[in-house]
Parts: sequence; C-alpha cells; structure tokens
Amino acid sequence: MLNRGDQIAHQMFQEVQLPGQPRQKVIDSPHLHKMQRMHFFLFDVLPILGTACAIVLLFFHPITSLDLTLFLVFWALSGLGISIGYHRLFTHRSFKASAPVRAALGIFGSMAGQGGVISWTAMHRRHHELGDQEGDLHSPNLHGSGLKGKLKGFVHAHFTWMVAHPYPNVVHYAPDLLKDRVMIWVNRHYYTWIVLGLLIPTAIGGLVSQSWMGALTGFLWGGMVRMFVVEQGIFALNSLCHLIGRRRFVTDDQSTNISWLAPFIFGESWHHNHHAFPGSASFGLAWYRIDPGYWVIRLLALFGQAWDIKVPTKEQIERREIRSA
Amino acid sequence: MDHVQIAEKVDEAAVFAWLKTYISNVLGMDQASIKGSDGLDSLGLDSALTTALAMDLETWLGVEIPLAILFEAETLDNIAAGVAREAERQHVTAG
Repeated sequence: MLNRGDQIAHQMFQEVQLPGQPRQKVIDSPHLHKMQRMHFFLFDVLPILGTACAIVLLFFHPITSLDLTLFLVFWALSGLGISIGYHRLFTHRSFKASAPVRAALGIFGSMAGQGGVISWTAMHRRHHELGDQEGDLHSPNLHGSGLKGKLKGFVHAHFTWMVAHPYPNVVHYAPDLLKDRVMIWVNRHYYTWIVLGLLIPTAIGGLVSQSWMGALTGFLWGGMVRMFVVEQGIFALNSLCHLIGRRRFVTDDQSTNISWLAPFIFGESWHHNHHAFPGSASFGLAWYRIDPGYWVIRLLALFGQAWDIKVPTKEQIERREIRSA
Repeated sequence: MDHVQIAEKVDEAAVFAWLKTYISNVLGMDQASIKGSDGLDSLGLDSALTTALAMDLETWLGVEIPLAILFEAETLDNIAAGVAREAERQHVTAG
C-alpha cells in the first residue's frame, strides 16, 4: 500500500504521456550548458564574491542595524519563497493557495536566484523520482566509495553540478504548472524578480541612510549576502542531507535529517522526513520540531490564504518507521 | 529506444501541424488561434518550454534536432521549415 505522500508523488509522474513512445525526459545540449554556466557564474559565484566584499568592508565600516534588517527581511522572503513556494507548494502540491499568494511565493522564490519556478520544480521532481540513483541531478552518493568518493560527491551535490547539467523536460515533469497562468507569468519574468530582489534593498539602504555607502551596504547585505546564505542552506540539503545525519523511515534514497540546521533553513533539513512523506506540508512531522516553513503555511491558513494542507496521520507515520529486529 | 515510431515522410506542413497541436495542448490554447507567423516567445514558450518541445519533437521524428533551430527562428513557419529540412537531411544521410 502506498501512503498518501507516495501516491501524490507517483501520480505526478504519470501525467501527460505520449502514446506508444518512450519520452525523452532530460536533454544535454551545448546551447543549454552555456546558459547554465552563465547562470552559475552570475547567481552562484557572484554572491560568494559579494559576501567576501561585505566581510572585508566590515573592517572599515561597521554594519548598521538597517543592513541587518535588510539582510533578515530579504533572507526570510526569498528563503520562504523557496521553501514554502517552490518546494512545498509548486513541486509537491502539499497545500493549496490563492492566486496572490502563489504569485508572491513564486516571485520571492525567484529572487533567490536558483532558477525559474518551472525549471526548479521539474528538476526537483526528477530528484525525487530517482533519489540517489543514476540520473539524480545532484546526488553526493554516485562518486565512488571511501572518503575520496564522498568528498567528490559532496562538492558535486553542493555546488558544481550546477555548472552544466542535463535539463529536464518540463512538459513531462511540470504539466500542472504550465496550466497555471499565474505561474507562467511569474516564470517568464524570472530575471526581473532577481533584479528587483537586488535593487529594492539597495534603494532602501540608500534612501533611508541618505548615502551612497548605505546603498552599497544595502545591496551587499540585502542582496549578495542573503542570496549566499539562502543558497548555502538549500545546497546543504543536496549535499549534507544525503550524506550525514539520522534516518528514521524506510526510503529508497539515502536522505537524512539534520536537526541543528532546521532553524537556519526554514525547517527544510528534516529532509529525510520529507523524502519519506514528499506530499506532506510539514517536514518536522511533530509540533516540537523546528519547521518555520510549515508554521508560515499554518499562518497563511489562519488568514484563509492556504487550505487543503496535507500532513500524514500518526498511524501513517508509525507504519513507515524502521523496525529494529 | 527501439520502439519509437519514426514519422514517415515529414514535410513542413506535418511539422507545423505537430507544433500547433503540441503548443495548444501544453498551454491550453485554442489550436485555431495559433498562426504560422507567431513566434515561440509571443505564444508564451520560454527556454524551458522550448527545450521540452525540442525533446518531444525529437521523439516524434526519431532524429536529433539542434536546439539552435528552435531558439533562433523568428516564427513557427521558420521552425517548421528548418526542422523538416533537418529531418530530411538526416534521413538521407541514414538511408
């Protein structure tokens, strides 16, 4: 018997099949690899350099409370956009949300610079389909055994897989999003949202402090550093959360839970729980586990902006637990 | 992929008909509203969707289509012509 989470995941891969022909599900092309390299440099390498600049600048110009506020607000907005929007809503459909909330989550998620919502969704559904097997875009466990293999796997899963990778067929993996006019619109303006995510903290920093220095530190802390921090958190799910940490359920992949990371990445590091119950809006699966992403979904529900929130029952959870002999 | 049905003789019109059906299915549009003078971009296909279209087109034709044909063409008519030419060329080379 499949549980409900598995049923949803299973159903997702059944949709829109061409009759009588095996569909091409990923493609490698020099044209796409060129675009991927450009994206990698702009939104994965530049934030590292920006963060280094911000740290060096600290020696000459102490951080202001305005910089910190800009960092926290844009870190939370773009991070929640990824966790609640890209991940729990668009990829796994673990709850339903109104059009304005879908648009806002898509826009904030885009600001994180991790790809357009349709690409991200397609790639993440493929990750679940193949979890740690050949074809998984970012598994750390396919690079040989021993410490050297693990280390190579870590670097690939955490960072370098994005330089050039097979690109998924979005019509196969994300047909539901392609039917959503709101999300098509958000997706088409991906680069606009990234630029706005950098311009807004820059403008606020400059206007509030009435100085060019304020604009610069606003850009660095509200733009570059928060992009870097959100990315490192999400990258850790691909690397650390498939390498170290605890396992509680029977799953086909090698996913793990890392509790201490949870407060810093919106509860996402209950990653093993998530692989066991991909259709669950809650990753913590219990009130006492820190899962800010789920708490915000509950808050949205309180205002009538989210509904049909899916969470497995206690019995469903217990049934999947690893039993020691 | 030995059970792929390679489309027999594909001409420009056949490719255009396939494009129309595909795009209208994916985007939930009225087929009749799609014209040969439309571009992929103006219809609402970004690079993600264009790539998906390329993959499914390759499956249908049984030949590899360089993505540049799709990304660089201005209109559906241009694409249909380019794809038909490419399919013909590869069939000739193979046969």
